[in-house]
Order: sequence, then C-alpha cells, then structure tokens
Amino acid sequence: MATETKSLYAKLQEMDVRYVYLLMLIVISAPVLKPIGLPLGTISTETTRLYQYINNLKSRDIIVMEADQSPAAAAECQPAMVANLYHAVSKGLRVLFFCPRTDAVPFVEDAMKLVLGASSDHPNYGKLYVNLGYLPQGEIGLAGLASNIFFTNRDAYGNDLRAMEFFKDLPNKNARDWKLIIYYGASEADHDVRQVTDPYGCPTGGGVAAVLVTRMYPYYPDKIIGFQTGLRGAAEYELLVKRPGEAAAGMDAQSLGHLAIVIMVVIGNIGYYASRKKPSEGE
Amino acid sequence: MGAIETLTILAAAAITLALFSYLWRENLAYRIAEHAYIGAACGYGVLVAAESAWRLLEPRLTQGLTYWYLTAVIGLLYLAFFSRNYFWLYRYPTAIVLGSEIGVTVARSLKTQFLEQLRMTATITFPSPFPFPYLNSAILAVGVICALFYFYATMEHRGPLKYVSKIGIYFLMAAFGAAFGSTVMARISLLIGRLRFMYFTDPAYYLIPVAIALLIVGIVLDRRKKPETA
Amino acid sequence: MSQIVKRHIPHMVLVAVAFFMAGDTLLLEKPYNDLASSGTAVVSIIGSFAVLLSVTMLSRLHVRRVQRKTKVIESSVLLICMWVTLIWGFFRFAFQGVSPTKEFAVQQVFNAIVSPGDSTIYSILAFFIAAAAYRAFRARSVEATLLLLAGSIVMLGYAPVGEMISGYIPSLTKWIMDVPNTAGNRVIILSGIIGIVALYVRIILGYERGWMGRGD
Repeated sequence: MATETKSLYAKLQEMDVRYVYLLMLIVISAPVLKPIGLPLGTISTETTRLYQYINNLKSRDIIVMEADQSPAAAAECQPAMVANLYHAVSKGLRVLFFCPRTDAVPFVEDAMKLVLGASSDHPNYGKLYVNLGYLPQGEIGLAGLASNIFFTNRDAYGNDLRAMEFFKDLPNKNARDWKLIIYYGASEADHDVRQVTDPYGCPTGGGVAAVLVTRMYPYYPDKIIGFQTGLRGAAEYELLVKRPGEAAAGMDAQSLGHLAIVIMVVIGNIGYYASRKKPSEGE
Repeated sequence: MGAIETLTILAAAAITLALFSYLWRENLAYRIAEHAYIGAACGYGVLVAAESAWRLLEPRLTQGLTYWYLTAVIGLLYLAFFSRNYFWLYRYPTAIVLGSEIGVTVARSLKTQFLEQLRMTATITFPSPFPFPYLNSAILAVGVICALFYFYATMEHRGPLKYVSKIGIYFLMAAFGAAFGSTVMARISLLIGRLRFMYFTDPAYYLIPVAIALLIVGIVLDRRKKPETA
Repeated sequence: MSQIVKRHIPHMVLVAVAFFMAGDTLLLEKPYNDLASSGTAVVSIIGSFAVLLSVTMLSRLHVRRVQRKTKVIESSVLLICMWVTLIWGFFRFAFQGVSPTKEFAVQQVFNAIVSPGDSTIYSILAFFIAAAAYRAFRARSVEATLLLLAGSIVMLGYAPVGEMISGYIPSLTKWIMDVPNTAGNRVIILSGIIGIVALYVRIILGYERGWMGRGD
C-alpha cells in the first residue's frame, strides 16, 4: 500500500501548537529587548479629544479618576493614568481618586508616588489631591459618591473629608462640581455614563483596556468625550504630554505581535484551503 | 534595594514563570502558583473590603448612632448560606443589596442605555467623506435597525426581512471582528508588560536561565517517558 | 408563618429597597436624598460582608481536599497564603490601626503574588489567541470572512506598523470602529437593557426567585 505523503500545508496544519507559542514569544521579546523605533503615527481623534478637554480646564477644576484596573488591566491602564495625572498636575487641577475594586488600590498609590513623589504625605494632599480608596459595591458606591461627595466621610488614610481644603468651596457637593470622570479599567464605563454623566452633566473619559474599547463607541462622542485605547492610547497621551514612558516603549512589540497574528490567520487559512483533499477521479 | 524587596521581586518572577510553564503542559509548579494567587487575592480583597466597610461605619458609631451596628449584624447573615436550617436568613442581606442595585440602575439605565442610545443613533454625525456629510450616520442608523431586526423573533425572516436580517448580521460580525482585534491588542499588551518585568527588573532576570534549564530538563524527561512509536 | 418570614418578607424588603433607591434617582428632595445617601452607605457596608462567603467557601473546599489527601500541596498553599494574609492584616488593622493598603507585609503579598499572578494568567491568553488564529479561525462563510477582515484591519490599525503598511489602514480602522462597531454594540446595549429591565421587573413581581437560593 502506498503511503500518503502530506503536503507542507497539511504538515503546518498539524504542527505542535507549542511552536506557535515559541514563535509568539520570540516575535514579542525581540523588540522588547532591542527596540526598533517605529514611529507611533497619527494620534487618534479619541485621545486628542480627551487631551484637549483636559487642556481647556481651568486651574482647580475637579477631575475624578476611577481606578478600576486589575493587575492584568494595569499594563494598559496604568500608563494612561500616569500620563493623565501628569497632565492634571501641570494644569493645577484638583484630582479625586477612588477605586471600585480592591486590587486597584495600590495602583493609585503607585501613580501618586510616581507623579507627585508622595501620596498622603504630599504637601498638596487634601488641597489638590484626595484619595478615597476602595468604594464598595461598585455602581451603588459610585451613585452614592456622585450624589454626596462626603459619602465615605473619610479618605483612604482615615482623614476627615470635611476638614480638607479640597472640598471647601464646592457649591453643590456632588458630581455637578466635577468637570470630568475618567474610567480606568476593563469592566464597563457604562455605569459612569449612567450615574454621573446623564444625571449630573459631568462627561466621562477613559483610559480603558483594549477589551473594553468597542463598548465605548456607542457613548462616544456625546457622553464619553474621549478615551485612550489600551496601550496605544496611553502611548499617544504620553507623547501629547511629552513624557514617553512604559506605553511608548511597548509599541514596537505591539506592532510585531499584531503583524504576527494577522500573518498566522492568513497562513492558517491558505494552508486550510490548500490542504483540503480534492476528490480523486473515478470515486 | 532591601532584602525583602529583592525577595518580593524574585517571588513575583517565580510566580510568573510558574504560570507561564502551563504553555508547556500543566504541572505542579503551575498549580501551586495558581492556588497561591487565588488564596492571596482572596485574603487581600477581604482585608481591603473590611477596612472600607469600617471607614463607612466608624464615623457614625463615634457620633453615638449605635443602631448602625445593625448593618454589621445583617451583613453577618450572609454566613447563613452554609446552614441547612437557617439558610433563609441569607435572603435578607441579598434582598437589600439586590434591591438597591435594581433601584439604582433601572431608571437610569432606561434613560442612558435605551432612550439616549436611540437619540444618538438618530442625531450624532460622524465625519464623512465629501460630498456625503451624513453618509456615516446614515449607514450607522441602517446598521442599528438591521441588526435589531436580526434579533426580532416574532416573525419569520422571509422575503425582504431576510435581507434586512442578513445586513444586520454583517454589521454584528464587523463589530465582533473589531472586538476580536481589540482583545488581541489587550492580551499582547499584557504579555509585553510581563516580559518587560521579567527582562528589565533586577533581580527577576536571573530566574530566566533557571527557567530555561528546567524547561530543557522537562523536555528531555518527557521525551524519555514517551514510548517509541512504530 | 414560616413561609412569610422565609420568602415573602425578604421579597418585600427587596421591593421596598428597590423603590426607595429608584425614588432617589428620580426625585430632588433634600431630606429624601440625604436618607437615600445613608441608605447607600448601609448597602455598601452590608454588601462588603459578602466577601466572608468567598473566604468560607474556599476554606471549606480546600480543607476537605487536604482531609481527603487530594491535591494536598496546592490546597495547603492556598490556605496558607489566604489565612496568613488575613490574620496578619486583621491584627495590624484591628489592634494597631495600620490600613491594609499601607501595611508593608500585606503590600509585599500583593506585589509578590496577586499582581504577577493576575497579570500572567491573562497574558497567557495572548499565546492561546495566536494558536487559535493559526489553527481555528477559518474564513468558511461570508460572515466569518467579514469577522476576520474587520479583526485584521483593527489589529493593524491599532499598531504603528499598520500606518506604515498603508495610510488607509488607520482611516479604515476608525471607520470600522465608528460605524459598524458602534451599530453592533449599540444593538447589544439596547437588547441587553431590555432584557435586564425585564429581569428586574420579574424579580420585583416575584416571578424570578433564583436570587433566593435553595430551600423553601
């Protein structure tokens, strides 16, 4: 009996999947270790709109940073939060932090220490920056905070909010005093639109993980005025504030990774159609 | 860098490599790392949640409002979940939290996610190429209507409705394709973050040759265990 | 009597709380809104206790595994990591007033185990996506082809290399995200909210009793 020789395409189809893992590891590691220096290209409209909105705010306007990033999403959202915080600090804005999830709390601390040099012991803490820490019950907690800015009574470090200069001159003591709420995370920004934007008129922005970005567009540009799309958006914002950091450094590897996946899809489909058996004559 | 910070980074690198070892095959190191993560994450989450609950409760108790202790009593009723005879007590805190969730979201959801979405479909203009300024908005509106018809199950999709539904599924497939592309971008970003940690954090990178050596040993042992194929 | 206490009163509590909180979203009366704000704090405190369920369930499951001598090492590691973190964190918070987010040992546990664990588990998916892209994503129909095309264009559009390949790719990506993606997600949101509201109405009317759990 003659043995059937498999075509190259058929062999590629049946290849051990671990070779694909190895290929991905090499493709992504190489530009991380030796950057290529690909230009970032055109900055997206979504990031530009967010940047311009923050740029047009006046000194002491309040922006709220909702840190909902898990350690997994932090790879994309943390660089965005840091870049936005640099921008806010340079504009003299007041920044209120809170976290709807427990494992986002250290990331607020990290961002404050990186940008401001300190968190609760910064001289402007309580005047320009307040960290409310973890706010339980997600949307319910946000609704409570939006309706009453003293909802938690104390900040993340146990200080009385009513004694802080940050809250002294607020006319409404609710979300009407906020100029922007920026969501960082991978869950959903819908609750910000529901509980803050529509009832109180404070627009929503985003520094979201890429998995969430498709869900931002139904609210864009009316409710969500702008957002940073994953690592790319964070890199764009870093360039806009002229502080290239983690995000910009990762774009070469992002490029090659995406290219590799697209090429694998194409080769996989070519191989699939090429290796499909043609019916032999007489059968 | 202090000794404890060094140990922390080494532990983080070891956990990372142990979890990555799943790509070779499932093994004890992966399972240990996974279970360590679940236990530590649960413990950390409980601590932060407890502290935040105390932050909400303590100011009211110090004001002499001792009836706020009731909230803690009702919260402890969650533990009735594990009782056979008193399971029904678990329904009280659940009813309060679920009722609150319903009340807070339903009215606002209907406005934001229903009425406003319909309004934005009809009114928002995206820039379109000359000479059709409203082309994109028109395509968007057509797409929303057709995709809604795809989910319309009251009538059979026959005749013109069949083509409307077909156009709807094409829009949905494009949306899912966009979601797939975004998801790929997200996962690759995470991988880049992990690799940057491993390659550039001192002393995490010292574990990389150790991991490679262990992998080679694992491959050799695997090959020896496999019976020779005829 | 027992059914009233076990089923009907919890249901009435749910309905009362739901209407009370919904009223807060619709009415602008300061006394009412202040009361609702306190109500939100009550719910936040009560809801925080739900984490006790996770600790208890994990402990029961893994203690049983250790007793039955199945996966002893893994279960022991989980129990040790969880309880050491909890006991030390509670001791430092309850007796010394040190917040868990500031407590050195607890933060080291987060940095050494939680953060790398969470990140790595999700980053492994990048490899699985690559394998799936190579082995499973086939353009077998018009719909599948459309999905793959949209996905490929979006992937290239979000990477700097896309603009280097062709200047049209970023514009095409933006068009896909602005128009078909928005249409598709808008429909998902519209359909989803109708389903959620229907579910909530069923819960309030008492037709949906799954939230009550097992038993009578």
